[in-house]
Amino acid sequence: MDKFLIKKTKEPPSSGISRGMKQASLHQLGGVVVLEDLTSANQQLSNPDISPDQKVSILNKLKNKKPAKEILKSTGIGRTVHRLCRDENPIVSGAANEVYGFWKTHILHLLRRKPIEVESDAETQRGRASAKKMINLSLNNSVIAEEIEIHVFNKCKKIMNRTYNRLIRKIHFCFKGNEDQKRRVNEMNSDLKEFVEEMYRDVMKVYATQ
Amino acid sequence: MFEARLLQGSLLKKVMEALKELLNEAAWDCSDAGIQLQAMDNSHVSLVSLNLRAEGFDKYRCDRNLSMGMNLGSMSKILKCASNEDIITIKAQDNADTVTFVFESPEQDKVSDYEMKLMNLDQEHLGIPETDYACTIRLPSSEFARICRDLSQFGESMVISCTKEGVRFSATGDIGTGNIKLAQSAKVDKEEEAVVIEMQEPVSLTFACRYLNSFTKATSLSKSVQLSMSPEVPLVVEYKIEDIGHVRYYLAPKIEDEEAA
Repeated sequence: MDKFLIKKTKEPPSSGISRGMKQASLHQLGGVVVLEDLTSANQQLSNPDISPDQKVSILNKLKNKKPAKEILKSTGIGRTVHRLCRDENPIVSGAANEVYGFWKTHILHLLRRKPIEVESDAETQRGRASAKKMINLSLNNSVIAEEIEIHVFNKCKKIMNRTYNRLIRKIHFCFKGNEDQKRRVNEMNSDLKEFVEEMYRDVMKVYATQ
Repeated sequence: MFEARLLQGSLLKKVMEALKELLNEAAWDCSDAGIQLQAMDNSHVSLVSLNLRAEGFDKYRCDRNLSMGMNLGSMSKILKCASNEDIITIKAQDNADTVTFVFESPEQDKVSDYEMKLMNLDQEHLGIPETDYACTIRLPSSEFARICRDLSQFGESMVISCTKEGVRFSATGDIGTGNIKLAQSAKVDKEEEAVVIEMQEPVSLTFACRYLNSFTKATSLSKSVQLSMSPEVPLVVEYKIEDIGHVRYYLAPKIEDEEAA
């Protein structure tokens, strides 16, 4: 019987998603920095007695980290690295420029991010669609009606509660009885977010009196 | 002199349940603002941060800032001696080497006190800046606990992906693959039942199920949980404790193993 069987080496068990992945520690992450390390790096880089080689070595270590903007400011490391970009030693200034450019690109990326609308479940979509329809009914501008509804939804912490419904109704009747307001919004002469804020304050006043 | 009286003693028992699986010992930092605890697990993969504000206590007195190093196993044993309805008071003298826990029954007919030895703990303090995360997901805490429990049967890692379609939790292992997708749901009867997603860029990160399951021990503290993710920073799992503070867990993701690749 054995001659009909071919023995194969046992395959190692698959570990699924974790294949090729290893657990990182908190300190290994680019966005995690130890404040004491940054403060010490700042002191060393500001010290004129430190050799250029040591400065380059410190700058190379900083290149692996992406500190938050507040930390760059509070530790003073951002300013120090920026100053080193104009260092008379070209190797130091080159390394400093690389770190500064890396940090700047990262921070600008964070600042330029805009909120992305996430799809909702069918019931929420139906509810939001009818809210948009209600605003559009009195405003006659579907694009602005949609934008107003997004501001209302965000203002109500993305929950369609009693406040959301009241706010939508308030806006609907505001346009219905106020041609001037309707014209201003249609002509984009008023900030929609500020307009929603104003309506929200009115709704809250009514809540307070109840 | 330090004294903190908590009418809802069960809260402290729940907090202990939420901490003891990850930490063996921790320093409880007491100041006039309240009690704070921050500690990493032994492997430095996760960090727990607890904040109990002074206003949340029935009576709170802290004459001098003090840091009380406690063995959480021992503290848990003591807190198990308290009933859920008991009023718990934590007391310590300045520069004392012990802490006292007093348990009073609601009718004041039974008062017990337990003294515990303090430890000298030398722990580093990590500054955690408020970060603008790429994705923030708020969902019912029981739902999150269920997802972690279900998917940990498939593998030891879980991928959390947040895209404009919603949030997807997935795990793959020897028995197959499991995927759970949650869409944003805003039309709910109670606010804590909602799934709310704030997103500035799509993120997909892999985490160890073992840690996520430990975090869900805090489920009884809050009806909803908030997950915050960004590339290259730890995942934050936050449970708000009503009227008193929060417990936050920070977890490092799994990263590509360059040696194995």
